[in-house]
Amino acid sequence: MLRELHEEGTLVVVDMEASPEHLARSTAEAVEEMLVVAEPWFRSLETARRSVVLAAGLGIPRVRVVANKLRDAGDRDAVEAFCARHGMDLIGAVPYDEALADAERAGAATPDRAAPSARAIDLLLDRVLDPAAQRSSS
Amino acid sequence: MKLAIAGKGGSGKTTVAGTMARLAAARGVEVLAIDADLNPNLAFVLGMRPEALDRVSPLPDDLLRHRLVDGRDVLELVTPAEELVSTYGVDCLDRVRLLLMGRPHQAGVG
Repeated sequence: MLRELHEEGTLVVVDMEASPEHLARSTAEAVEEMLVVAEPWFRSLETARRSVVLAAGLGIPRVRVVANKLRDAGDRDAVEAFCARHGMDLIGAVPYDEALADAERAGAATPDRAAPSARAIDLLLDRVLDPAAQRSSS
Repeated sequence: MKLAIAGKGGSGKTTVAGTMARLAAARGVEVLAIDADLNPNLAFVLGMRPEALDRVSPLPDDLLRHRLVDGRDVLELVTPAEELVSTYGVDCLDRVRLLLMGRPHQAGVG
C-alpha cells in the first residue's frame, strides 16, 4: 500500500508496531527513513539497538534514533555514549515535558508548538525533511 | 517522503509520530498519518475523541492479494492507494489525514 502511494510533496508518517520484527519486507522497501524512539534507559536503548539492526537488515535506507523523555545532561550523555558505542545515528533529543505527560494522561492531543517537546520535535522534522541530508544518504 | 516511527511501548513513539505529523501539516506540508500499531492510539494524539474513533472504518483486510513476481510472493493492492486514502482517510487536527490499518481495533469499551 505504501509503495503504491505516489503523492509528490506529501509526508507519510507511519506509526508502526513497537518493533520492526513484524514489518513486512514490502513495507520496509517503501519507507525512506525509520526513526526509532528510545528512552534514556539501558533496556530501552538496547531494544532500539536491535530495532536499528533489523530495520537496516530490511533495507530501509536511513535509520536514526530519537532520544525521548530526557530529563538532564546525564540522560543525554548516556544516550550519546550508547549510540556512539553501537554506531547508531542519533537524529536528536526530545526533553521530558510535563505538558506532554499531562496530554498523554488525558488522552488529549499533543501540546501546542511552544511546548519544549514540540519545539524539539520540530527540529527533528527539519532534519527529516532536509533534502541535502537525504541526498547525501543515498 | 515516507517515514516510519518505531519504538518500544511507552517510549513515546506515537506521540513523536503524531506531533511530527501535526507540525509538518502546520508548515503547509500535506500529511498522511498511518496508524499501523496493533493498539491504535495515533488518532488521540491527532485530536480525535474516542467516540469519533469508534466510527472510523479501518482499511478492510481483503484489500491485498498475493501475486508471484519473479518467483517472489508479493502483496499488492486490489484498490488503488489514492482511492483508499480518500475513502478511509479522516481529517484530524491541522488537516492531518489519518488512515487506520485494517485490524479490529480494541476499543476496550463499547
